[in-house]
Amino acid sequence: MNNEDFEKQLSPVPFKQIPAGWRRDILEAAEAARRPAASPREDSAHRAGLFWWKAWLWPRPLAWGSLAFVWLLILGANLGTRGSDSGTLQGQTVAHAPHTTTLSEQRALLSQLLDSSRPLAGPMEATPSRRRSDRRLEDLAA
Amino acid sequence: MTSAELERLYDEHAQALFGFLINLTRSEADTRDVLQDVFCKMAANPKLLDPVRDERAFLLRLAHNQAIDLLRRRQTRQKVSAQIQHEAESVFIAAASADEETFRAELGTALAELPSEQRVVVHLRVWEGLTFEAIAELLDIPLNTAASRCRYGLDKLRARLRPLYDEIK
Repeated sequence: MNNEDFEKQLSPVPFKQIPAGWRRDILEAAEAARRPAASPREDSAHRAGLFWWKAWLWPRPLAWGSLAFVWLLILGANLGTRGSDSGTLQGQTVAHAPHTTTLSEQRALLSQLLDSSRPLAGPMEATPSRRRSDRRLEDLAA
Repeated sequence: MTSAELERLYDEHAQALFGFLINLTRSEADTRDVLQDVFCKMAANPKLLDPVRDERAFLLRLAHNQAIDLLRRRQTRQKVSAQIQHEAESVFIAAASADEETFRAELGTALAELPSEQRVVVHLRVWEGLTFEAIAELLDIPLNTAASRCRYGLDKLRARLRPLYDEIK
């Protein structure tokens, strides 16, 4: 008997039948596997509106171009206002000049007053300005 | 993939996959696990079937890979061997005549004793009627390897069954 004849002899021998209850269980499991494949991620993204944005922005270069243009506008506006801000600061400096003068006058007046009251602060003048360690050395020498 | 398509896949191919897997794993529990994995995979990735010409061959390949993964994962060669000894006679449908029943039981045992590589090729050749080219493609092995595995497997089966066959005749 050659291989072909032997194969023909074996092939009609039937394997066991698949248990009938498996069909429902396996198909239910497959259905359950299919639902997550439709992806809860996508669902939640739909809910958040992210999916729509993603779908709209990614394949459309026009949208990206518009976005870039808006960014350039913002950048331009930012640079423009920065220039005017520095001008305003300069104006403010000029406007504050009289105040600065008044303040320096007040300081001068205060120093005069302090000079005039110096005799009253006699003990202060009597205090030697030397360091304490020097004084101690002098005391020891004495 | 719709529910109807899943059902069609099951109705057309589940029996063949079951026969293939029960012959490979020799365990109904493993067969069921693998079969369920295959259908879950198909349901989750319906595009897998898009470029496929032969659904049956594709599903057999998927089932084979899943079964091999399962068996490797468990690394229970001894346990599988024990199962093979235990379940060898329950692979085929029970026959009406005693002689045929004896032949089927002996065939089941002889198949179980083949190395799994040969058993798979013999199954695909004899019970699925695939060509060696199709088997080689399905198992991702060279054509000559598929042919030689089949030849060796059939030779062993024939040698094992010859005394019984002669006796029955």
